[in-house]
Amino acid sequence: MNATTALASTDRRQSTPVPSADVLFPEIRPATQIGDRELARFGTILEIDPPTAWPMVARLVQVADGTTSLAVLADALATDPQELVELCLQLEQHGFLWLTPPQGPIPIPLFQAEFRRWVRHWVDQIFSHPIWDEILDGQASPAVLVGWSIEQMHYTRTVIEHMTHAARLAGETPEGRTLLRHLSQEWDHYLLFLRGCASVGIGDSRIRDAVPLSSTRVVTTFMRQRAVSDPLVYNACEALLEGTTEHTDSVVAFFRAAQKRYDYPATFIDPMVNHVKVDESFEHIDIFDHLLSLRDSLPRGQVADILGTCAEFADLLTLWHGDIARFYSSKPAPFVREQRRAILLGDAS
Amino acid sequence: MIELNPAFWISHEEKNVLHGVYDGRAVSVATDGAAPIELLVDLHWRNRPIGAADIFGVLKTARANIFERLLGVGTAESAMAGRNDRILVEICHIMCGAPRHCAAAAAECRDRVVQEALVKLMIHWAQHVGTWRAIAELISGEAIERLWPLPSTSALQLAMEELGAKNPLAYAATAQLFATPGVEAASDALEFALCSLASNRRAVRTEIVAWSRSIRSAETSYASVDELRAAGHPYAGDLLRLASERLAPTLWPDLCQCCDELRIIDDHLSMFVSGVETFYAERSEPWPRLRIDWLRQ
Repeated sequence: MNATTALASTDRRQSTPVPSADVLFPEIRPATQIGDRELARFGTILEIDPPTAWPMVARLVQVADGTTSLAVLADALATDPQELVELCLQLEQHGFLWLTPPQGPIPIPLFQAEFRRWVRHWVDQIFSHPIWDEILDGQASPAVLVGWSIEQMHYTRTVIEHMTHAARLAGETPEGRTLLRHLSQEWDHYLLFLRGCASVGIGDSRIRDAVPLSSTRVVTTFMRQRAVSDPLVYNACEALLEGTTEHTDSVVAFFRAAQKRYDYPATFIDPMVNHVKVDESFEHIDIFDHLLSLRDSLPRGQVADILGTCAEFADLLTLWHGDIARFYSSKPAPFVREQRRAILLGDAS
Repeated sequence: MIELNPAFWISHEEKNVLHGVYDGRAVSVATDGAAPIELLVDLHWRNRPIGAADIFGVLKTARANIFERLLGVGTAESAMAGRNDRILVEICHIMCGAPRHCAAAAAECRDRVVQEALVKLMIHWAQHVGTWRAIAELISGEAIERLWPLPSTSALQLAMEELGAKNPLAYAATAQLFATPGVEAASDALEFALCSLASNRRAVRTEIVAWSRSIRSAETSYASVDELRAAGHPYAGDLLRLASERLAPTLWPDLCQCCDELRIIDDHLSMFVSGVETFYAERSEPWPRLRIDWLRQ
């Protein structure tokens, strides 16, 4: 999605007093692209208006590294400090720079807006695998969506292996209570996938004993490690996972299109649709926001940790989807990865 | 009814024929009962009491299978054409991560002797991290802290840490993947595979050869302990043999579980190799792949 915003010199923050240029240290955020008289970041394109302001903006972007106050920068750029403050406030509002004291904490509203930008970027990345288009076009094996459902079942069943740790470590706190509530709503969601798989001929005991792909297991391992390290970082990863189903209507439309294309029974697709809707009704997407609302700000190190960990997680989910596509594409539908411990070769008596 | 030895790796199946790897050799076996199934199936193995020799025998075979997979990285040059540098850097990430999964195994190991062997191995690997840091920097021009591993590399590291924490016995079978001191066959094979990948980089080959020489030295190996030396090798010994004797499971399903865990590592090694192809060839990841400062441009 491209959003174009004109940066007008008359645009001001009406309700808050303008801070002093001495205490603000602007810092351009990563992934900012500098164009011809415009800045772009995550689909937001900021046209500089009036165009005569562009040289100053371009120079500001080059030097704003968080180590120099706006007062000093105004001097170097030969501009009025308060005008520069107002410009930077607008750039901050549109997500192009941080405007805090040096190494100062990030206010929660600014972090939330930034996190949402990254989540949209990561969700696009996760679903960039060609297999999703191939499913819609009918080019993919029918085994792929069944396999995806099987692996989702395996993963959601292991929520008990990581969310429990996060809830335990959060202790008797508002965070801990939120996590326990989330766990109580989430722990049995694998049954939805189980029911769906049963409708395409994969019996309950067969799928329960099936072996998950190694890539599925490693997603659980990742979440276990995060659960025991920092409950907030863990919940950011949960928010990313929930973000993959944020656009309920388009996800449901995808499942229905696949149902029609491959003639899957409704009893296979309905549970997947229900899963999306159940998550939405429980407002799981808002849990991370709720945990953040218990704070005023986050230390910069924790912000970096949250974003870096979620980026790693997005990479891992991309790898996971690719592995599911690769493995099930070559298999007949429905295919279950059986345990190979005991392979009967015949009667040796 | 008989069961297939769990160390047999099935590569694919046809009607009445299994193709796979056993003890490092490719084998195809008919399953109608007339074929030489004694090659891969010990008809009595399940009827005997479980012993250290059984454990070592089964896991040694599994180890040979995944070791073959790793060495295949070095000989897959045609498939990896032009990406040898990239895969070498990913291997550097893995070798630098070895002390971490070894630490996880040591922390959870219930046997004091194996625990000590593991922690010494961890220290030994940590002492050699400098080699891998140097190689990564020689190849990429960047310090390894600035390099961001591919997801497939991170997945292998995570899987190893999980294995170490959950199953020190199965973990012991994987140690040779990262070259255990004193086991010349392992270090020689790795040296050959890595030098093949670095065929056009003399300085890197020099580092690899120096590393290989130093880890086989009994005098300089921190991981050389009496119990390990007694367990089969003249210098540092075989961690798997020691672990087989000291961590012996009493139930066959536990041993089968070890084989299942090793298959997961085998899967991850496969993904590790294909990940380089997927991310650099198909997805055009920038090279070198640098960590991002999440707050600053």
